This record gives sequence, C-alpha cells and structure tokens, in this order.
Amino acid sequence: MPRDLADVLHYFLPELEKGDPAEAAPTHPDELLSARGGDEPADFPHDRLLPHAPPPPLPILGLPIGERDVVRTALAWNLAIETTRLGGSTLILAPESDRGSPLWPEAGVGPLGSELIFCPARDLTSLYTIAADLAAARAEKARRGGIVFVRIPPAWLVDPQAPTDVIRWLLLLSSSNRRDLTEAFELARVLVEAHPHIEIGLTVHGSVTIAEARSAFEFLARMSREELGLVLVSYGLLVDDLHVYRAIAAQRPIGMAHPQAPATRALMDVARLLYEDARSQVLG
Amino acid sequence: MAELEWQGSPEHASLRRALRHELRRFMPDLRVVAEDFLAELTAIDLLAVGVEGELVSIRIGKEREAAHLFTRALSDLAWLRPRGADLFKLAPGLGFEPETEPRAMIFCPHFGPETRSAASHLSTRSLALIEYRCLRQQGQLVLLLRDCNPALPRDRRPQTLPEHRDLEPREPTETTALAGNGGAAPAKQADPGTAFRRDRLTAPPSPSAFRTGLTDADLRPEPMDERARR
Repeated sequence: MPRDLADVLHYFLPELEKGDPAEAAPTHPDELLSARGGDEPADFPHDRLLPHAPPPPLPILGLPIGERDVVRTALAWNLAIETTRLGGSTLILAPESDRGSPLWPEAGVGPLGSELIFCPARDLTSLYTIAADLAAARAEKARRGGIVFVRIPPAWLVDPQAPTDVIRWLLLLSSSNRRDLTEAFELARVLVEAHPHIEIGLTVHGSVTIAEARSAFEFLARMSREELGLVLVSYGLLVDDLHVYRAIAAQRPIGMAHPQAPATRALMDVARLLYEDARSQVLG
Repeated sequence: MAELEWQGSPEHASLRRALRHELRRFMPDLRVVAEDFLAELTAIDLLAVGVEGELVSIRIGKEREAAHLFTRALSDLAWLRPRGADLFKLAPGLGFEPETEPRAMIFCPHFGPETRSAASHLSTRSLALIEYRCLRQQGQLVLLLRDCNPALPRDRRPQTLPEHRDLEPREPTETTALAGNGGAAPAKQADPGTAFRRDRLTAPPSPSAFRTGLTDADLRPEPMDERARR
C-alpha cells in the first residue's frame, strides 16, 4: 500500500522514467563481469546519459558467513527482508558456489522485493567488483537508499593473497559466548590489518536478555579498542528463537511467518540500525 | 546531499506513522503497542507502554487542535486508569503494570500559553507537551521533536538523545526484576517509594556504545508462543 506521495509520484510523472540509465545499465552479475572484462557492449547508451550526477552507490555490507552456517545465513536473509520492509532496496550477493545449497532460498526476487543473486566470483576481488557494480546500478532506482549484503566466505578474508583496503563496512554476527567472541576478535584483527578504512559492526545473536548482549558487545568493543584501535559499532542483538529455526527449515521470512515473535522484533531493530547507518553513509 | 524541506500539514495517518518512527529515537524507552486505540469517545493515536509498565496515551494533532487534544488527553487518563487491570488480563505479555499510573503525551506544532499554563498545574508525571515540526527528507516525512514542558524536572523529561542511545539501567527496577523471575517474587524487594526514581530515565547515561531499541519485554515470547512451545 502506498505510504506517501513519494511512493506513487512516479505513476503521475512517467516522463521522469524515460532515459533512465538504470534501464539500460547491466544489472546481472554476468553482464557486469563481461562488461568489465574488456569488450564494451555495443549498445552502451552513451547518448542517453543524463546531465545530472548519478546517485551514490548503495553501501555494501560484508557478512563473513561460513559455507555451512545455516543460522547466520538465515539471519542475513531475514535482515535483508526486514530492511526492505523499512523501505530500503536490498540485494544479497553470494558466490555461485552457494547455488543449490540449503543455505539460501531460490535465487531471484524474494519476499517484499529483496533479491538474492549468485555471482561467478572466485575471490574477494571479483566478489567486491561485482558488488560495487551492482551497488551503483541499483542506486539509480533506490529512492530510499538500501544495502547490498554480501556473503563473504571467511577463507577469502584470511587468504594471504586477498586484496587490501577493499572492504569498507562489515558486520560480524557472534553469539555471546567467549569462544565465539574471541574468534570474532581474531577475524577483526585480520580485517583491520588488511583493510585500514574498514568499519566493523557487531550483532550479538542468541541472547536471552539485553544485559547479556550488552556485556558481550562491551567485551569485544573493549578488546578491539585496546588492542586494535578499532571502534566497534553496535548493531543490537538477535534472538535464538524457535521461530528462527522453523523459518530456516521452511525458508520463510520470520517477519512474515511470525510478525509478533521476539525474533522478529529483534530483526526489525537490527535492520533499522543498519538501514539508518546505510542512509547516513550515503548522505555523508 | 540530503534533500530537506519543510512540510506543511500532512495527513493524520502519515503524521502518526512518522511520530511512531521518531519516538524510537526520541524516547527509546517507550514501546508502542497499539495504533488508533479507541478510548472513551475518540481513538488514541498511539498507545504505548513506558519503562515502568505504565500505559501512555499519545495524541498528535495540528496547531489549532492543541486545546482539544489537551482535553482528550485528560479524558484518556481518566479512562485508562480503571482499565489497567483489564488490559493486563487481555494482554499480559505486553508488559503492562496495572498498578502504575497512566501518562499522556500531546504532540502539536505549537502550544499556546493557556495550554502550557494548564499543563503546569498537573502532576509533572501525568502529561507532557511536545512540539513538532514536519520535514520531508527524500520523500519521507520526518518529525523534529522538542520537549516544551518546563514544569517537568529535568530527569523526567523525554530526552533528545544521540541516535539509539540505550538507557537500560544497570540494575533492574522492581518491574524488570519481577519479569525476569517469570512473575515470581523478586529476590530483592524494591522500595515502592524509590521505584520511580530508579527508572531508566533517571539512571545515569550508560557509557556503553551498545545500541538497541528493544527492552527485555520485547524479548519475552508472546503468551500464544509460549503455549505453542509447550
């Protein structure tokens, strides 16, 4: 249902849509990769470029998620959907090797317009190249901003051959137990060394109380500040709820299946924090 | 660059939605539980639960409606006061505390001197007057809020906070202690006289950068969920 005039304005001003470079710009990862690979597509619309500057690309949020990490994958997918519910335009980008895995639902446009794309990336460089192109292409139509979520295999982050200074914004999902937090800290250490301009956020999942999540965040924030000089950003907490696991099994968004569940409230809260930060990043 | 422009008078539903969104930042302790909630004769725009489990009637209107809203807010207080127990029975999972006194908040672009004067004669806790201005940012309605009730002591006023600053107390109040025990008697009895003084607004701001708009009550499963678990 339309929420305000801005939502329906385009119906009354169709001429605004004409000549939109986003229509002709490649948006599929294969097209993007081939366009970058060398030969420029013959029908590239040079003559259709508008005089105004293109909007800033959507922020790219990296999510280190292992190949079999069903819980983090489900949380990431649901976060993207909740961000869409808040009005953002979202896209999840994952390596092609994920296709067919039980981690993800079918590729394509999913609930509320959130889209899942598998791309032929084989390393961090190609993954972020595709993500950057998609972020620029999608920004054309994302009037309310949005986020490109990127599933990064953790092995690509710790690879000695990995490129440096590529990642700008990354979200760690960690439970509140010390072993997980220490693992997250070790990953943060590698990331800070390789990507000096990175901003790292933490969402504590599996918390029962806010005090528990706060304590976990403060533990990691203090270590990061003292040992790495990193200011860790808090992105709230997520709940390990029975609904989370049911939703994973059914591959249904928790927010749609159980809108009143604590897990949904927590997802909405984290999505709101991410979305607001994403918008402030774009607005500078 | 952000496209900001002043917005005239948006329709009421848009205003209510924007207020609900803005309250999360302006008063992170407040948890909205119902919209358009019918009271005595007219609907309360937003019904919320405060940090102590008190019901909060929230009404928003245009400048010329300030006096009407004031009357309706007083009527809401009278209407809600005897119904706290009923609402608690209807929705025990929402964190109402039937023993607490309801509060009211009125949002208007401007309050005249008579309305302010009338409000100053009420208990500082009962009624808050808050002014707002409408902005449109990239097509989205945004409200700028300003607390304008000088009668409220500083520690009772809604706080204009840095984004999402969490004011969760380090020690649980009596309310949260009860809830954390699953309704059993709290391990340590709080002094009823100090209960209000120990709430989240009066607690010193936490130095933590931890952010959340949730309360522990949000993490508790709904009653229906609990039945499903069993």
